[in-house]
Amino acid sequence: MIGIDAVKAAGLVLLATIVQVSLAEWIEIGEAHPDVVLVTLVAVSLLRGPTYGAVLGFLAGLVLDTASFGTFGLTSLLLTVIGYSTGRFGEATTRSSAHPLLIAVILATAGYTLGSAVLHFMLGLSIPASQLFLAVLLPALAFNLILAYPLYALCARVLPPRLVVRREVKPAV
Amino acid sequence: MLDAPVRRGDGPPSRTGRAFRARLVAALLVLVSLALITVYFRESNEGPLHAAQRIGVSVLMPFEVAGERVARPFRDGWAWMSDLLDAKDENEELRRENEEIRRELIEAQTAAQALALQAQISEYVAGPTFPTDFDPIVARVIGRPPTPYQQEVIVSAGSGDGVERNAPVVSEEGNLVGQVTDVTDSTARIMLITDQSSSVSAVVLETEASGVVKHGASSSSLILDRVEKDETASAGNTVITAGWTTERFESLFPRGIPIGIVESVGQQDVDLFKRIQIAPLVDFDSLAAVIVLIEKPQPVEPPPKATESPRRREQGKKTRP
Repeated sequence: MIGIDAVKAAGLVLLATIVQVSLAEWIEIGEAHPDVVLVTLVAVSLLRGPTYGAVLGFLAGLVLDTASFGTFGLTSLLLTVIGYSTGRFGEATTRSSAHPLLIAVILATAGYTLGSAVLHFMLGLSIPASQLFLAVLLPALAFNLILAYPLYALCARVLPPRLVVRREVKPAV
Repeated sequence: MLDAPVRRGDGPPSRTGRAFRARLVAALLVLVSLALITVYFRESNEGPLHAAQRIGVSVLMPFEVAGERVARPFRDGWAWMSDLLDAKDENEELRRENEEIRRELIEAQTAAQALALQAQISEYVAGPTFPTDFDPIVARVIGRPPTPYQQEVIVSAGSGDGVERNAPVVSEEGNLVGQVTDVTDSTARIMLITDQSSSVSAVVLETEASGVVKHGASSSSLILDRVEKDETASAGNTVITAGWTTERFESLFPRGIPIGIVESVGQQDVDLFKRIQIAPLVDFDSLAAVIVLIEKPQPVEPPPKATESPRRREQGKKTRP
């Protein structure tokens, strides 16, 4: 069951990376594109937890770095951290938050954009902060929030949420 | 949608273990990622990671090509929409610029016309033909009568500017236009010489044949009437104001203001006078500005025996020079 789940999740992420490199990269506002991979990763992480998030984030990052001839491991590093963090966030807040998906997408987008900026800055590449916020972060947030619910619904259909098995605790007499 | 629970109710021991495992996996993958970055930067372009990347690209290429083909119509649609929006914005911007340029052009042309008019008036006022006993008051034509029966115009200068009733009015070139018939504080009504009730004593400059200029058959023609039969005039002669003065009266119009050009001379045996057809020098249909001539105040002298005669309106006058 876990193996099938893993294959499905990996298939979803792979499909998302293909859509990302073939379609989403052509849609642009400012300097931002809709991040199908990130939103899919957030959805899968919320549905399946931090381990899935970390592993699929790593794999998706590798595929994206390969497809874009980017620095190998850079996107993997970011998406691993984001996948793991989102999984943990989902475990901790799913029942208490009104809109965990939107919050998770906002946090993931901001984290990915800022983390990418920091890593590129450390590698000697930088853009002005105003451009980062206005031309990259805000449009990316808008794109990803629009994608959030449809992609989550798709992911939830492929990877249905697992039922909770609660232990019955008998009160001591 | 997210109310559906994830796995977290299995009890403290397995939950701790799962969390630890997740942390471990994440830490391991982060380390692998950092190692990949380090190796990728340290190795040459022929290194194993670069080679793996090239292989990965070639593997992914068919997917990218297929995806690109699927995406092309959407991309084209998106690009078309973007271009359309850009074109709309650009069109709006160009229209605004066009409107601005047109407005500036109109302003410049208006200013140039006003400047040319002013230069013409200045030239006339400073020239030798301007009557020396008069002061000029320049006024713009601001209104015309609504009916064709009244040959009048309203000008933008009135008694507040010094305009007086019966003052002669000339065009910017110095040709006779008419006379002031009514004055308010800021406007004046001017009866044109083509009006039916207008009459101006005039002479033919070349032959000194004198008569009275009245309206002609049409609203833009004049005749020089009451010219003695023995006086001569021919086509092309210039008709000017006579500017007569007697001991008691003087003409409202100073001598020498051009009125028109003789077009034809008519005379029948039964007529008492000659009738000379005149083409006015002023185009009354396109009159934009006029000069009202105001007589300079005469130096006050103690009246001897005879006092200065009051000026009399020239219409209907019986006395001729």
